[in-house]
Amino acid sequence: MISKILDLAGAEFKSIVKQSLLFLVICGLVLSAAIGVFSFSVNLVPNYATFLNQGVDNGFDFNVYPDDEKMFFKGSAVAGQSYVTAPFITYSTTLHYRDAIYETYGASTEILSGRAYIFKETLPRVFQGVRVVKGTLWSTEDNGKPDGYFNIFLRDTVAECLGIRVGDTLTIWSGSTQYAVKGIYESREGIPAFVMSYQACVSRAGNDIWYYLEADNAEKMINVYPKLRSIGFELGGTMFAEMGLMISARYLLIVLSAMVVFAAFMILNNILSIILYYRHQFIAKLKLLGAETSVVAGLYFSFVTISFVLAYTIAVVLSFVMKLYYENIASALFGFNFVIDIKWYTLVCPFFIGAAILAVRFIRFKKKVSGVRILDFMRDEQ
Amino acid sequence: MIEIEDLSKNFGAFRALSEINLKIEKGEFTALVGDSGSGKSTLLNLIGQIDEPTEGDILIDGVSTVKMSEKEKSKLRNGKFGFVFQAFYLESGYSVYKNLEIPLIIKGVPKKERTDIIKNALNSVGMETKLRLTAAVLSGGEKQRVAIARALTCDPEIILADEPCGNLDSKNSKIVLDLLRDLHKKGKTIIMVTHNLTHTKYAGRVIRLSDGAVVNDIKNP
Repeated sequence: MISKILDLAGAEFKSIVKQSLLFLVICGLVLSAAIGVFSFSVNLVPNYATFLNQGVDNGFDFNVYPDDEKMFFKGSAVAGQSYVTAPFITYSTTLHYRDAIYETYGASTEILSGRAYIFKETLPRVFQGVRVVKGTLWSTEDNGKPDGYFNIFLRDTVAECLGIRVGDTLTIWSGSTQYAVKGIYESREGIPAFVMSYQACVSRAGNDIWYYLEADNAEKMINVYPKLRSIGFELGGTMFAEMGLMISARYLLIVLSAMVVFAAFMILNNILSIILYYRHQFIAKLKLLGAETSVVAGLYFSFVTISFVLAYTIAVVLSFVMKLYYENIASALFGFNFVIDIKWYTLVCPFFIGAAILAVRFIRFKKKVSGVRILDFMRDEQ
Repeated sequence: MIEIEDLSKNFGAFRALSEINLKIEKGEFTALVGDSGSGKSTLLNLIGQIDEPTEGDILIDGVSTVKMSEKEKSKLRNGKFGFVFQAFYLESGYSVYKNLEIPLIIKGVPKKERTDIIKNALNSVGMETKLRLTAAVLSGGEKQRVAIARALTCDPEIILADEPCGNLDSKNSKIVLDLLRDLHKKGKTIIMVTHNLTHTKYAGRVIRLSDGAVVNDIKNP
């Protein structure tokens, strides 16, 4: 039967193409748009799939800020020396990424405090790579260490969310100098949000050096994210908000791409209807000459299938070309430099969705072909 | 052999054929004649399995067609019957070759055999030089000869011709009728519908229909 269909298709190809060439071109373009939008949506949160399943190395940050009572430093300035009795930091949703907090204490004109701690995580695996932006230079008294030590504070609830437990080893990476120092996450003197300290950091207040944190034992980001939200990290102007926006946009675009895929197949569907309308006399002739319904349906369906595969191939090629534009659009929209990888599943999904729709359509088309009566065409032609 | 048993056909309230009983032997050249609306084309369509009877049955070589599946009927139309119509029913955008190739494709004849079959069929109707022409550019007589050639490609036992000369002048009509006669001589069963009584001289049997019933059945007129 397949050879019959192919032979008939060879004879009929010219006639069909003439009737439906425009629709084919439109279909190819729409399908490429579908793949493109789908790829874009999937890539909108870079490596999103990995991020969800394994934890990833992409942007996730949160603010660290002195507690609500402004207890960033407690103590007094004596002879130019700041004494901090209870340094701790909690989190606030009111501050934004890279906000700076300055405090001045006592009569001293010297500014002793540094900036707020702002973590920016890169999470290659679980809680790998919290980025610490703009570390603060603390005095010896802050943590009982010589100058040059840094404290990084984690509120206990956040630490819990992140799966970091007291006693876990955390590693600080310096992005610029590529050295790592390990520290222990611990609780000191009953202060719940606490401290890891590390030595020999080259960073000083105001320097813009990024550090990365690793945890041995932490949760996947997909679990961490809602927990963090539940303790007050609402979407705002930080990376959280940007990611939230991207995720929302991503779902929107996935829906959009599904609609575009559907539109593409509606066009293919219309091609079948057009064929049925313009070629029903020929279909009747084929039946008169002894063609079975399945052969006739198969003939036109093979054409639509070939069209689909052609349109799909064009769409794949176009998608790679348009990828560059998508990246530019993404950068313009979200202010990030996106590298959009066209994933295998962004290519395969539209294909299988299309194949499924075509399979369903074939059953309906076969029914319609079966309804073409030979006598009707004879009357039409007379 | 074709056996028609109590065959009736209604189109809504209109009874086009009423309890027809006929036997057409293999190798007969039968002319179905009658006035317009007498039911002769309807009878031919029913024999050719392109329409379904309201009542009765048609047996082809002793096999009932009433309960045949669509697939079996398709096979009959492709292999058992060759159709020739007044309106030719060629695909005008196709070449003569392609028009003849279609029934062969449907039959499943391998490509390398098709060319010889098509050339032989066109030879038999004197159209071998028109192989590559588009059907649309042919004259009426040429179209009908191509239609006859197409009917012959699958080597059918029975040729069903519905007013084959209806659109032709007398010269071309004679050519077509001579071709049908030649086919008859080669052993084909011919059933021809015609309203032109002069054409019945080619037939060995003339069946007259009136108001959907057989009113006259003359052999060797």
